Amino acid sequence: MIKIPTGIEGMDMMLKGGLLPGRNILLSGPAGSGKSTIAMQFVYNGAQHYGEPSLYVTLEESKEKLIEDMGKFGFDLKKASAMGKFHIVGGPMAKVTHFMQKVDADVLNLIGEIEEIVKSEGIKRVVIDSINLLTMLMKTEREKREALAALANMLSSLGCTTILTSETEEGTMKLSRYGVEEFIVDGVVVLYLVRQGSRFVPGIVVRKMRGSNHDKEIRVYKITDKGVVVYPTETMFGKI
Amino acid sequence: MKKIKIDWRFGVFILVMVVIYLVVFLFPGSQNEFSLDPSAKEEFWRFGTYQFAHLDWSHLIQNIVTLGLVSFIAVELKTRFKFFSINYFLAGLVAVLPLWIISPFVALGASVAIYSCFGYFSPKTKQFKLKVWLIIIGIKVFIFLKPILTLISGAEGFGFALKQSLAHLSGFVFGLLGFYMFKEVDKFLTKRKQYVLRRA
Repeated sequence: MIKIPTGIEGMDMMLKGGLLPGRNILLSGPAGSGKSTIAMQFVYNGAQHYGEPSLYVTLEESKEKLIEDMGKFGFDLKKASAMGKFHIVGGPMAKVTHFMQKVDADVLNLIGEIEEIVKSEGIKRVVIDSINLLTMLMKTEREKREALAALANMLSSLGCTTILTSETEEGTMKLSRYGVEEFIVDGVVVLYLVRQGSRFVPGIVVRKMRGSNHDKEIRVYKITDKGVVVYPTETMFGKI
Repeated sequence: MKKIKIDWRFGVFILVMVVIYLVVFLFPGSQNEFSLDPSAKEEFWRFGTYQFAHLDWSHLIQNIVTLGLVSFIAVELKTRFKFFSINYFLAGLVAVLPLWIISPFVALGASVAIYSCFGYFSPKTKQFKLKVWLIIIGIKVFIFLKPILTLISGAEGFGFALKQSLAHLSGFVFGLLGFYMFKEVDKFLTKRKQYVLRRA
């Protein structure tokens, strides 16, 4: 079975080699858990180390801020963009909705735009950060589900391996914000911030990965100055 | 059962047009006041009014019925109302002009605008796996049926019938060109809509 490595230290061991190509993965977790960093590492490593054209769609932060923030981990996004293998589009949601209103665009137009970029640039790895903001543009649960399914199907059919980030409420065991996201993806990776005394300990678990074997334990990870590092042999909770 | 969504704007469009046609028709001397008349070239507003004026009740009813048919076909062919209505009014305004400038004649009625709809619809029939060129030829034959029959029967009025058919043909050609023009406009608008993330 061919798998594509994420390039994130320790994570590929949890995933028994990496992700299956052409699959959609939901990466959920509370604010500050490092979703954007993990997602960025996945696409940045893809472009820089595995020769796979990658696309990062931001709906939270501006591109400039993201470039600056990721630069602190040593990810030179400007250089990667200049080399033509890494693409970053989008911006803060307010700015995106402003442009959408200006040209009377809807979510399907945004999906169409992502499709156009994927096709024209031969993209193989995609990150949508975050899916919550995209679904916020739709009113009913049915619309949310349909748009997410359309996005996931489109990316899969074009052979893209995709990470969709989703912010969950702190302290809950929910896999996603609206409870619909996990049903349209092939895999779910959850990040936790568990309070231990006066500090939060980050934990990561692969909850679902269709068609692929994976580690079932909650493992410890850290956000270091080189990005996220997962400790695939360290369990979050000791056995009693 | 799948719910069919019908664009209610086509219904409103027919209603509004029927009201305008009736008001204009009932206006005393409307045929003289609103028609496109070579003897009143300086009254430029007639370019905008002639499509709403009708000769008699039969002319009016004939055009209302055909307009109803045209709107029904528009819904069936899933025509975008925005483009349909722009094409309709624009054709009523300018489609007859080339012919009128070459050979001026008294023109009135909505038939040029209505024929432009048939021109607009012709390429859309492709969705029903119909041969577009066959549809176009069929409509053209229908347009020239009256002068052909007049010529064959030897009856009077061949010249008028031919001029009328040529006006209808200009409407039809306008609609046909309109379809391809609006297709490009639509492409451009869609492309604009799909340039949000890269702009943000």
